[in-house]
Amino acid sequence: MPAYPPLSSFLGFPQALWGFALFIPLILLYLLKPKPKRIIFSSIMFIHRIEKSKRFASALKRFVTDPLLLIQMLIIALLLASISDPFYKTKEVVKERTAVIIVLDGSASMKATDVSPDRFSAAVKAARKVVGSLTPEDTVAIVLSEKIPILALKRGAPADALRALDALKPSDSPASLGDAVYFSKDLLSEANVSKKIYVLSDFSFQDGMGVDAAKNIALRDGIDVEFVRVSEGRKNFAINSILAQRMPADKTRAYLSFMVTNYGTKEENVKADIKLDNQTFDSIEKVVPPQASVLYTREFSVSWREHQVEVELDEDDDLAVDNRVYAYLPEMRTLRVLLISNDFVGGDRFVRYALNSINNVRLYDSAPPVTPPTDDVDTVILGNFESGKVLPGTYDDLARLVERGGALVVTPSTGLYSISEKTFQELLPVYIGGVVNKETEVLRKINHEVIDEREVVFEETAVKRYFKVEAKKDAVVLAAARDGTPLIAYTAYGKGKVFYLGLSSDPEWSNFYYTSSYPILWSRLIDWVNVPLGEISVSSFAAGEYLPKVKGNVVVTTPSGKKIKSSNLLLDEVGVYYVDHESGSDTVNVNLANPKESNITSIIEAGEAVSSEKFRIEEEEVDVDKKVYTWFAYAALAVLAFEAFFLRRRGYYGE
Amino acid sequence: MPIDASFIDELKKLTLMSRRRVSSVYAGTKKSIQQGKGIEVVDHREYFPGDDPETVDWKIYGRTEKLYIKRYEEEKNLALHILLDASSSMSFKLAGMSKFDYAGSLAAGFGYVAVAENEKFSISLFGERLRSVLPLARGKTHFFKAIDILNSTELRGKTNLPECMQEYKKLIRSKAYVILFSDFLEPLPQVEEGIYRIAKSSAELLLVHVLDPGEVKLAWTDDIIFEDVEDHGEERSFLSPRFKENYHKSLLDHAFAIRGICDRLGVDFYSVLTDQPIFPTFVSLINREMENASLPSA
Repeated sequence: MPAYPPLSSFLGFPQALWGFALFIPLILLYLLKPKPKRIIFSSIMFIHRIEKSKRFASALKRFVTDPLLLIQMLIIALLLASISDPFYKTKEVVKERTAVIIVLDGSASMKATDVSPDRFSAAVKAARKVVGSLTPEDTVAIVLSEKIPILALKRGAPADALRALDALKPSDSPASLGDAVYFSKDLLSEANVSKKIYVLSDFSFQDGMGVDAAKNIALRDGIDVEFVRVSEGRKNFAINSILAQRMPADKTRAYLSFMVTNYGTKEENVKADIKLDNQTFDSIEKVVPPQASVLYTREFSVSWREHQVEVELDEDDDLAVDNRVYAYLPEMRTLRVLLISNDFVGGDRFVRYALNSINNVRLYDSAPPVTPPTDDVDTVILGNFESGKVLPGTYDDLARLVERGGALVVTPSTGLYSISEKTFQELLPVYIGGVVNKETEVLRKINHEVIDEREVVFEETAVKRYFKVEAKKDAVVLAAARDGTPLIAYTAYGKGKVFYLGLSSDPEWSNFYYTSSYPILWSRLIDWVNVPLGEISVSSFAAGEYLPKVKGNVVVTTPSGKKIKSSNLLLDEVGVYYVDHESGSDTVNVNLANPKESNITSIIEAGEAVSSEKFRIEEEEVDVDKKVYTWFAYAALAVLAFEAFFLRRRGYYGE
Repeated sequence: MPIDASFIDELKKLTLMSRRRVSSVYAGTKKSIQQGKGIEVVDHREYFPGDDPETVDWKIYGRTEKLYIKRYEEEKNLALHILLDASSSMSFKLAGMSKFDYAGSLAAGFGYVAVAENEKFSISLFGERLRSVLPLARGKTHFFKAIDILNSTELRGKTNLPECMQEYKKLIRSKAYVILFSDFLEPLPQVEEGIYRIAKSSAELLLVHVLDPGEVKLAWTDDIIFEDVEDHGEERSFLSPRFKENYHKSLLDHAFAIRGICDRLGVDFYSVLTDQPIFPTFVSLINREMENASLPSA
């Protein structure tokens, strides 16, 4: 006995078939219909002729005397079939309304050309595939992942997304994909729609939250996240760091050093061109092993004017943005430095040595009670002096010096903590306490220009004695002892700066005087304290850092030539920025300076990332019940219309 | 149903003018009275306007100062032959008179006029075969015999016009004026053949097509089973207006076809309906007012 499929496999409401029971009364009605009248007629000749001429009459008459019954039964059958909600199973692509966010990696590594024309373009191409799969009812947002997530398109239709994609460009800064995914998750708050985030990236070094972690958080919120990788990662050389500075002892000589890294898999000869003020004056070629870095160095003569130094690798690799670095040599001027000290045999002599070795420093000595006027000096250094011999008004003079833009450097002095002058106390960046006779190392708190770790090292410095000080609220602590006591700190006062150098030059206090960093620190310290406040004291930044705030009106010209009337600026382009402000103008160099970003061959695991070439929008076909009740309803209407036509043709007008 | 006696009474009241009209029938519309050797004057009758002036007997006029015409032997031979369809189909009636009774009344009218003119007439009934032939004769007794035959006739069987006309023409010995009453409800070829046969033997032929209004306008609706009264055949039909329209058209086509045959043969053809008063119909027949008559529309 064959198994027949149940009615419910193709009828949504099989109970409607009970309606066929209506046929019984209908047929009975026809059966009970009165028999036709019998007429004895003179001749049926004409009647017979007409009946014979009717179409299908002979065929139909064999089965039914009146086709109206069949027609009405057919109408009822079709209506019942419609009511029984028939359907058939089929596979269809079911597309529900979707809210999509496209997270595009806009970091420097996306400029790599291992994917033609570059990774970012490949990502945009994949993004277009995503947008192309959407319907006009879907919404799409675009987030460009840079140092911070940038909402390129808040919520638009697919057509808006295509326009937005055309306008996007990658930056020269690193990006934080994880932060961008986390940010995107919060944008998808709409209910009753399908939510999806597409992350299009090379998944190389990323700042901030890990992208896998952000994905998991999104998944917990019911948001699907798909990774699409756009990279092949082949060959890249990068200049990861540059140091260009005037020699402390001779400011007419500059020292240049930069590190070249080979991220490839083969040893390469890497040639670097060195430019000074846009003129190439030298090239250095060295062999760089694979996955290794080589230091390039060069000394050269410079004038006391400001100079722009540029180094460019003469190599064709997959990421060009890290093949150039910039450095700035600020203008030099003679700085007048007054050392107030009664110590000519102790530690202050090392100070004198250091200062005298700086060729743009003119050192003046002054031993209290003799204190020359400070009107003509740029910087006053308080060495080891007898505070009792300081003439009244001296501290006021110092205060006025600093207020008008000069600088005061305070070194440990035996009488330092006994100075009770309010003016002096107000000047200091720290509160002076007693002396701590305890050994400590010097711990760098921030890598300030004065104590740039590339040149000033404290590993060999041993401190035996130091003042117990406490940093004031506005002070910036550059280095401290192990117990947290600030050893190097500064503060702004008026238009100038007050610098506390707690690392004594006295051999009894520390051996800092003996280190090679000692004269370098003094040279950098003197240069830095004489940079007026309100200007940018640091000339080099890494892409992705913010420009320091500049007071007053400012116009910033970016490397690409855009002019922006604000110093609140993310430095996302590699190159030279020019900052014009009320006090003058500054040159700011921005380099990629990110070894991890340059390492385009290093692909972190981003969990099931599909390559952009294989990326397809999957359309899932699901089994759906295709309802066809309308077919039967329309068929019933058609037969009803035929019945009306049939009745009209037969001659019944409304009967 | 017997021949309508009131009709007979009305015939008596025929005006002089009507009589004259009747008489003119016997004078022959063809005006083809032949003259020649061997034709003798056997009788005279009063002159009526329209008579041939050459036939006026001036001798009698000289004596009586009244105009009389000579009647020749040939005129006296234009006998009236009345043929009446007595098949079952002639029994049909929806209301009032059956076709046979109506036709019979008209036939009796012609017989009455013949008697009034002292002319011979015969009356015969036919169906499948010729039956009840009352030979040519004159006089009232002959007339009443004819009435008896008409009243007592049993309508039966089918109609076979060709066969019957073939039979009857053998009985015609002299020039005859034949009047044929029938519903002509048989296939057209048969009707045509029958007309041809009798027309050949007639000096003048008049076909009177008798129909009941119920046959022309089917008076029923819905589902009907029609039984042929002659052959008992059945046909079931649904009488919609369209069907009735088609039926009426078929009937008209049949009648027009017969008219066409008659026109070709120079035969007079008239259609009458049994719901019309007999006497005016008869007078109309006599007066040829129905020359272009057609079936009334349904």
